[in-house]
Amino acid sequence: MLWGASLVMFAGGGAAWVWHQQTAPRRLEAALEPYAQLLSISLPRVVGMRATNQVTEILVALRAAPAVMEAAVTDMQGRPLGVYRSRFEAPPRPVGFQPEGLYVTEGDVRLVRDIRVDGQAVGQLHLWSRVALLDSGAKNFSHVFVGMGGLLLVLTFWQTWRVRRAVIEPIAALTAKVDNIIEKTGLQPVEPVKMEDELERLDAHVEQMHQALAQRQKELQAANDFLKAVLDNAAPAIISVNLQGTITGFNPAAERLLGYKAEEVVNRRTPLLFHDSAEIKERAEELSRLMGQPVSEDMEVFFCLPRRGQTDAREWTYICRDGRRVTVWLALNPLVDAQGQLKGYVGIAEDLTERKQQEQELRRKNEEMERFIYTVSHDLKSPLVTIKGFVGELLHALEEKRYDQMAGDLKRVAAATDKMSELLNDLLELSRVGRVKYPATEVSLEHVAREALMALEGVVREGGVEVIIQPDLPKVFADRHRLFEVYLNLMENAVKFMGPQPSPRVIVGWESGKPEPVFFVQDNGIGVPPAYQETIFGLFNKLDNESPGTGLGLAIVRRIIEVHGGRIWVESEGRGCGSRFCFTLGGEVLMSLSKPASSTEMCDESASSPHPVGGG
Amino acid sequence: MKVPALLILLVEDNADHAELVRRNLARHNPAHRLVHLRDGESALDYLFQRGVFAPPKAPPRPHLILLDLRLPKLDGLEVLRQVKQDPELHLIPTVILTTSDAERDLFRAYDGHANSYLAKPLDFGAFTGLLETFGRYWLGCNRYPWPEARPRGS
Repeated sequence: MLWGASLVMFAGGGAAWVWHQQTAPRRLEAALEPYAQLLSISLPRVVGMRATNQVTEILVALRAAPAVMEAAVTDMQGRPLGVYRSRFEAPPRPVGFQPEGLYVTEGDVRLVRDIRVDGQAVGQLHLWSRVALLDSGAKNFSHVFVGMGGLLLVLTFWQTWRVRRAVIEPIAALTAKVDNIIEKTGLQPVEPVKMEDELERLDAHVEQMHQALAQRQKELQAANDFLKAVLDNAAPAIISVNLQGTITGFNPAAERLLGYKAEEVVNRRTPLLFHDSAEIKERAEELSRLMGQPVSEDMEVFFCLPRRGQTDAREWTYICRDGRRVTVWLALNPLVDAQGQLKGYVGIAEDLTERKQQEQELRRKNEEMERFIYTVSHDLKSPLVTIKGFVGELLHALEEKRYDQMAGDLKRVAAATDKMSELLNDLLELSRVGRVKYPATEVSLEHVAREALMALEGVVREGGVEVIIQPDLPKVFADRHRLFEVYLNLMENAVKFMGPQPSPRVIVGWESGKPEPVFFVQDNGIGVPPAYQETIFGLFNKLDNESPGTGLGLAIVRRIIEVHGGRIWVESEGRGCGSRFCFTLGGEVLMSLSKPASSTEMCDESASSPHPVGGG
Repeated sequence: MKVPALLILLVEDNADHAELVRRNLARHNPAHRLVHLRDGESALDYLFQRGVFAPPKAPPRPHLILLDLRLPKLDGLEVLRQVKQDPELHLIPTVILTTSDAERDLFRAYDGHANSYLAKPLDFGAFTGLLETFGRYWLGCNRYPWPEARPRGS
């Protein structure tokens, strides 16, 4: 501002000075002209008469004019007729003829006017002055000009110093800072920079930073995409919370597991929403004992171990939105930023339902295996005790020459060996189901059932049992040999466990029900009490130990059905109410299932097309 | 004074094994009576005098029970449990005689207050020897809480 004003004044002063110089002659002329006019009134007369004394007298009147330093009157040849000098310190200026006009030389001003009488020039009037006397304003203007010039110079230096402090130094500092950032962040300079001045460097560095930031942005985006993909596709539920416990992250697996949407819980709820408060209370008490200080019954039970750098992984129960309870394995870890500052916690929860089921299944298999070994050892040992015992008795009798009991004892030995052999055969069969596979072929279940009936002809006739095989049993694609065993076993059981039934009847049929067809062998025999409806399919579980058989028949049947992708179960109201053994077959087996006629609901009394075979 | 013959209740589903027990006991210890039942249900009916064993056909109370574990209808452990929970019947010494030498069975039998546990040996000599020893001890040495077999409640 000040510098601007100085500049304006400097320029103004300069311009005024130049203008003054240009207009000086006119102003000088104007200053001297009145004197010349005044003198030219009286001078023509005395010059015409060449009265030099009178000329001098007239010139003396110029004393009243301080601007005029000297004056002279000459004739036309330049000879002086009279002179006037205001001061005498300087030698008189030379006179001589000069054409009319104003002459300015080295500060001196000389005005020459002709003295005319009747239009005839008779002499000349010379007036001398000094520019300085006439034109003191010029000096003022030049003072302003010089002064302002000086001020400008000072101001310019000051300004430069200020610019240096306010602009250049900060730019240099900024450049150094940018350098530092580039160096620290490990961003490689794209090109070596020509260091001509700070701005160029700064520009280069800013460009570099821009590129580096863009690169960093791309990398961050890529890392972010990767993390998002991991979170979105992770099988475990991943839930993050801030230090207050409010949920900050809730991945899709968590949504699926718990039934809450991320937007419902993020920044709104804490995980206490889906935790069992009784479990939290229990854990708080446990932790209080462990830590020797009270742990409150809130998110603190999750935080207190991870905060101390200990991983906290254990089973918890999640209560899903629909009220379902799910056991999860929840591992909690602190969420720490790059500066080591604790920002929150991350919990990774794995659904243990499947594992629990597998464990249960494994336990069941183990128990079955244990029972199997136990029973096999017992059931194999038992006939051995008989064999050895009676062989001993036989030897004893031989020694004593008692022969009356020997035939009976030998029969006992033979029966015991038969039993052992039967058991061994069944065990072998059981182990072969699923291990040894016969090729699957198109099998008519009706044919298979009929074949089984033929094999059982003896017992069926003996028991006077009416067997009805539904003629529309479909064809399936399966292991014919095994399906024969299934029907043989189920039908044999049905006939065998008739009990005191006056009109024993067995129906072999199917229902093409939804969602899958169910095949069944139904009887009106002794039935199966509810308590045994599951266990009879287990190994060696006989409904009645007095019945013949090894207790492996239904276990083998179940195995075969399972190998064919199906299930088997029994429906019975209990003892004396008959039973219905039902099974399904896997989709692959049913693939070529064809049904010749429409399905008919089978009832005991109204078999649509009774097909009695055998019977009494 | 005539010493009454000891009455043994044998609960065994395997008829062959029962026959072996009967013969071996008879061979060395003639002075006893043996009642053989084939399943747990009838054993309890006998002991509690119900069903086919209900008065007036009530049988005498046995001095000793020889009980197999694997029995049809009701297994030996359940029979043992009911006997040992009864205020009177629990006094009857109950000896387990089974093919099983599984620890689990052994533990459960003693847990049910069995008085002794014998595993049937495979070898004939050992089997005979076991029953001979059994007879000598239980029929020769052992003293019973009541001197003679008599109907329950009389």
